[in-house]
Amino acid sequence: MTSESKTPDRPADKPERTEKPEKGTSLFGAVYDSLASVTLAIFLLIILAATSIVGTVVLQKGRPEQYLQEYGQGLYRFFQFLALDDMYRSWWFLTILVLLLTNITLCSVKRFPRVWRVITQSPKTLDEALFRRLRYRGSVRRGVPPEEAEEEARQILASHFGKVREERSENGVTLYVDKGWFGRIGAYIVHLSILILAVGAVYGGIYGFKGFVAIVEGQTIDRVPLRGKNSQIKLPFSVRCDDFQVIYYPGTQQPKDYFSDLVVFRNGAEIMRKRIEVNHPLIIDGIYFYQSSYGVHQSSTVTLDVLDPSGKVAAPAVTVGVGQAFNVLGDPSTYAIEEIYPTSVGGQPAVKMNQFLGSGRREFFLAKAAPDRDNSRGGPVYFRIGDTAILEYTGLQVAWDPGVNLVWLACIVMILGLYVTFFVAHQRVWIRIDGDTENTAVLVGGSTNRNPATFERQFEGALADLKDALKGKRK
Amino acid sequence: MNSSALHGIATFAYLFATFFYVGYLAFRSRAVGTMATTLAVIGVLTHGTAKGLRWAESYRMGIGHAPLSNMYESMSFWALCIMIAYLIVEWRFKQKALGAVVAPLAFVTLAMNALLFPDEIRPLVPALQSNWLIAHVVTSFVSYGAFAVSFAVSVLYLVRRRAERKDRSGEGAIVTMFPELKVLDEVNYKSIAVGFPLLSLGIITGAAWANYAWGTYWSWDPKETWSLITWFVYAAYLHARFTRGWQGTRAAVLSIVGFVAVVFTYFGVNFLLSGLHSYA
Ligand code: HEM
Repeated sequence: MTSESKTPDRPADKPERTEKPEKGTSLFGAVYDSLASVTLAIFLLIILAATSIVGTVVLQKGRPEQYLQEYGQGLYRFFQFLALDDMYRSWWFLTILVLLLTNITLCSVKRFPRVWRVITQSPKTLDEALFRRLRYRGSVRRGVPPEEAEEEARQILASHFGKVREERSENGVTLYVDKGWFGRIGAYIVHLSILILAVGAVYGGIYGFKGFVAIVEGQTIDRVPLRGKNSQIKLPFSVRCDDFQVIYYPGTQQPKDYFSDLVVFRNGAEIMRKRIEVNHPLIIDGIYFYQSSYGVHQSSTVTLDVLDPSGKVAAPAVTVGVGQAFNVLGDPSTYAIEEIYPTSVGGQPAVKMNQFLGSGRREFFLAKAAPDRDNSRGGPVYFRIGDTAILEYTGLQVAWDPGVNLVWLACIVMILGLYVTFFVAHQRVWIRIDGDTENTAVLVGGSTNRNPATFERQFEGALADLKDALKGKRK
Repeated sequence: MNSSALHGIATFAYLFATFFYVGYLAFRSRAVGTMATTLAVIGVLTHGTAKGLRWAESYRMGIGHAPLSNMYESMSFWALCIMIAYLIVEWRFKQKALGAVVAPLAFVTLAMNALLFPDEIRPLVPALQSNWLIAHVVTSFVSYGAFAVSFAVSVLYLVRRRAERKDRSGEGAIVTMFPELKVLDEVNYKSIAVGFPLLSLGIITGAAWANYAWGTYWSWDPKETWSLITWFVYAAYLHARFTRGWQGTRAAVLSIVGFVAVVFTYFGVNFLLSGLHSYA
């Protein structure tokens, strides 16, 4: 064994740090032991890490064509067999997760009683056998009466470590401090939190729903199409979108924020009204409505005035929606609107246009705020935006997750557990005082399950103080 | 003086600190070691000031936000976290050898930043305008800083162990300037003991934010998944210390693998994979 075989944080008094399979005589015992072993935990964690990579490289939940194009028939068949196109829900991935949960449960159930015994049956008296087993120890012998020594020891112990308790036995009195015991169960709290997390995730997955709905300004909805499914859910209320707005960073086309004014009705009566924006959802009956996207409804139309280069009307105006191709008298090209921007330059609408001539295509923009700019494109006619009937829709994610509170609870428990595990040390110090009226023998011993360096400093400090104090007494 | 200039000064401070840390190992001179530490501290102070100044500059531009929102800003924050984590370790354990691994890491990060990413301050997209941003980024990056230290000690551990195996006397070798294996192993564990809870907090605040912004706390997006992969690896490391056969070398290897996962979560996902986190 090399020097690292004994780690500094694991003093000898820590219960069972190594894997010693209990003599599993039966098959059941052997299976139980391996299912409860930490070695299995390490392997499962590494396997989870390794396999999780696949889903970050292979597209998840794509359409068959996408896979066929990228990987070809043979590989796609193989992917389907292993469900790599939706691997985090695949039978084999879930199996590993279930194995991990089983492993955590069995391991904790098996070990916890032992740890609990260490905590609850912590020795209250310091006998020779315990003294020899402890890593930190010292002894003092002085010609002072035990009562005085006890008083000094009590004070020093209290000032260095906190609350002092005592236990009397036939070989003297033991003063002891026992603190931070819950540091020992930190790991079990973390394990418990993972089980709670799993319950919350599964519960929310089974009973909750997630959907997406687009509401055109002025419209009301009470059904939400579910994501990834061909069904929709009926809400116990209805939601109207009164208005939708985007605001931009000054002088740019970059959205700064976007809002929807939502009104909620139940049985025809208004029960709630809220302006939602990104990162500020509407919550009603535990159902969340998140501002997630926006767009122009396909029924929106723009009227385009057709002018000749001198600015006179060249042909009757056309009223079209996105994608509708049209021609203009006296111009061989075909035109179509590609996209409508409801609030663009100067807060006014703009459109992206396509011009097709022969096999060629050209893109250009029209802005209501710059009525004659299109004239510079050149050609028999140019366009100017006239009236518009633009309907915007707001895109809302709708989610109900009845397990989410359990998940947050699990997170809090986990963080507390981790904190306790790593930053709370179970420290114990015993001082046994024994002797006759003239002479006192003092034994001091200590143990910690963590941070030995800090503890050693405290312990040595207390020991030195005690020696000093007793020396002073003799004079 | 603006924040870009201060970033430049910090970059060079880290570069010179690197030379001096390496020089300290080579010549074993105390003066050189003190110089190295001084340079590292100067680097951290200017770097910290640069971050603060950039924050103020963004408010002066009317698009105020914490300087943690894009690749440039988060890389710089990461380098700062690494150096602070390292200086704490140097001070607590009185060991300077680590600096020869960590200081170049900070230098390379800042230098790459200067070469690869525009340093202009940009307005935030709406999804990033949330207080969760700060909680999420700070916890994640402080944990990355701690993991960088654990990576450095693991490398030293493997190098020293190899050298000890080959040459029992080990005299004259640079590795004798490294901390002892026992100390390296302990620092490794301690930095992971700090990094792991913070990484957990980083993942949790990220999940809470996602839940608030998109309605799903977990969607197996590549960045999320990679942070979980990292978390699994460090969890494996923590449990490895429980079983004898997995301590020492294997634990050091796991710690290095964990850091590779950190780096991939951070860079690989942005440059090689696609997802929600394309901004940083
Ligand atoms: C994602 C899953 C897991 C997490 C986050 C986790 C977390 C932790 C943490 C933080 C510790 C404390 C480590 C230390 O003291 O350095 C710990 C200890 C431990 N874990 Fe886990 N664990 C997980 C899974 C498991 C599994 C599957 C097992 C099954 C065998 C297991 C068995 C143990 C044992 C035996 C300890 C030591 C307990 C003690 O000190 O008394 N863990 N775990």
